[in-house]
Amino acid sequence: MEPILEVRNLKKYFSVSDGTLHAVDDVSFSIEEGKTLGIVGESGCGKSTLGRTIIHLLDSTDGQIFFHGKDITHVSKTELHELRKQMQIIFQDPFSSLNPRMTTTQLIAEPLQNAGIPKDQIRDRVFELMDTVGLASRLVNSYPHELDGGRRQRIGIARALALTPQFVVCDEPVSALDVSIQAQILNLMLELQEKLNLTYIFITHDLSVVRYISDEILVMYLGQAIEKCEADELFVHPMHPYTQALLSAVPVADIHYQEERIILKGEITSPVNPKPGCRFAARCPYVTDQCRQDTPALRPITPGHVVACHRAEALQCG
Amino acid sequence: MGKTENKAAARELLSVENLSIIYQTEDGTVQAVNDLSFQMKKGETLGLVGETGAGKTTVARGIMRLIPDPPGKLVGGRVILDGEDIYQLSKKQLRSVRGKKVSMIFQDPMTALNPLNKVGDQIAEAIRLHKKVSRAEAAREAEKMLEMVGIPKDRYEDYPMQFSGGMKQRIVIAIALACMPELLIADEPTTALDVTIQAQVLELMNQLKQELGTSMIMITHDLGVVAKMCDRVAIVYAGQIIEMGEAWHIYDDHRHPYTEGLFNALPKITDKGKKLTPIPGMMPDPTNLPDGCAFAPRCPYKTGQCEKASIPLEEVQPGHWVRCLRAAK
Repeated sequence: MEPILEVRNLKKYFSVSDGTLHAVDDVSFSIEEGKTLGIVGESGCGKSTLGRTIIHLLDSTDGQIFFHGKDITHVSKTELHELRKQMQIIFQDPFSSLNPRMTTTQLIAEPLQNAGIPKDQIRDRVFELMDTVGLASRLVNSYPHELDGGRRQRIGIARALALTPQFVVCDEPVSALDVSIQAQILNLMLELQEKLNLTYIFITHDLSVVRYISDEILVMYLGQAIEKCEADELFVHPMHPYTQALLSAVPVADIHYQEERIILKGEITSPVNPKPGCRFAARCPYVTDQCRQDTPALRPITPGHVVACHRAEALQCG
Repeated sequence: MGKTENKAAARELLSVENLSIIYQTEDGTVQAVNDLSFQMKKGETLGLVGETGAGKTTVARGIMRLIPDPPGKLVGGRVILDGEDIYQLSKKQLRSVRGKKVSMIFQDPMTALNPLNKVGDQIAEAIRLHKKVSRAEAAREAEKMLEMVGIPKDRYEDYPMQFSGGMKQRIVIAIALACMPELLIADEPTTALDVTIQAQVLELMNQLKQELGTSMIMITHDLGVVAKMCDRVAIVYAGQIIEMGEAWHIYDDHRHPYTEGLFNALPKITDKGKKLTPIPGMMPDPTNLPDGCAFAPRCPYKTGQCEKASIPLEEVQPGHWVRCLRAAK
């Protein structure tokens, strides 16, 4: 099956006062239609920048982005306008991403107006969308501050889905929500995916959430993709030492659960003007001289499971 | 794992009795904490768990006598810490109790540190506020505290901005522990941190708790953190404890429908599991709480009886308390 989206050697650098920040550094992957790719990593790993670069909220520094096989790395304004109907984003904090002076209906109508949908069709479409995302019709004239976080995020989802996109980047969509509300939104997103055949990139730092929602998972560390495989495989056979430490650090809501906690020592390497070599080397318990000199490439270790670690095979046997 | 095992000869350290706290706002009177009581023994770690707006932080501030007045107001109850009634103390006595007997760690380490002072001096200052020691001695103790939380003492002269988020939170912990308080109240101490850093900080807190014998109240929404840290757990909903017991009561034998709902709504990292079951609806408006059970509007087991009068917290098995008519039967 042809992937709906493919990213090749994508880079996004920022100029900062003391050099160049390599926020996204040579990341490649593809996603099949109707699937969810989870992107996990800790703050500053570049996961949000990656999502935003893919949908052209940020310009890429280098590399290529293909959508339905077409190179969309460099597009004109008109092409971007068309592209936005097919690629959308849901943001983390529904409070700061919604205009506080607009009502529910105005907020949902906005993307439709921007796309030049005729006025007489907008009203019906807004009500249809409110129904789709589970917003009661009595909330039409409510302002964001009158709604709880879950309902605000439902508006965010309705806005993203207004122009029937095929592909949605979800940037920490449930991180600001309490667990009882989080479950409502996660279930809604899964239902909508099935109903509308949506493809998701789901960006999060929450490893339990990513396991629940994803088909495949990509792990990022300081701008680089370091491991990718099927969701369950990642939790059963994590191969990269960072992934192993990350998974072992998650506190499990079970008092009988005995984990072997891998506590990382050492401080995080700076993503500004990074030197060659593995970026995790300074914290890695299995580091060798080779790791400090050569940047490890992402390579298949077992079928469907790619890892960027020089010692991946050796550590499997060990 | 660092749970406190030895509780045999433990004496009572803290007694919160019928605490009620309100906030006067333009929208009405917010009933933040409603007739809330619990006791703690020395050396124990109690988890205070609940969602946004449940009143957990207000309880903590109530214990510290740090409720901002106005708009906040203690309208009933008392707090007995190590035999002393916190609300009967003079300002001077209160200052000495805060820090020496009880300390608090806040969620955001960035706002808890003074950006203009060297971190070592900030720890030394806390020591000198409560102990009659010379500057040099306080500085030496501050160096020791820095090393205890895993920061080299040669960073004494550095400023907060030179540290990462995890290190800043460790400095805040060093300040809170500098006077060896009997009780440490930690309000979401690791929520702003990345998970690998969180693991370091939790490990450190468990270690220090054992070395110093400090008792702790851990306020959090994260049932995973509680499982790692706490001996006993209280689940808070709409300003009330709705279930409280030993950790195993809550994790393996919970009886309140809200506690059950929390566990069912939680995605699990250990297996992909079934579809999540969200709790329908949302927390009641704290300016207009229902007459009966506050959870009744969202409860799948609700009966007419639940909405008539307030439900008492009852002991369903030794040490396990539940505020639910169904559990009491």
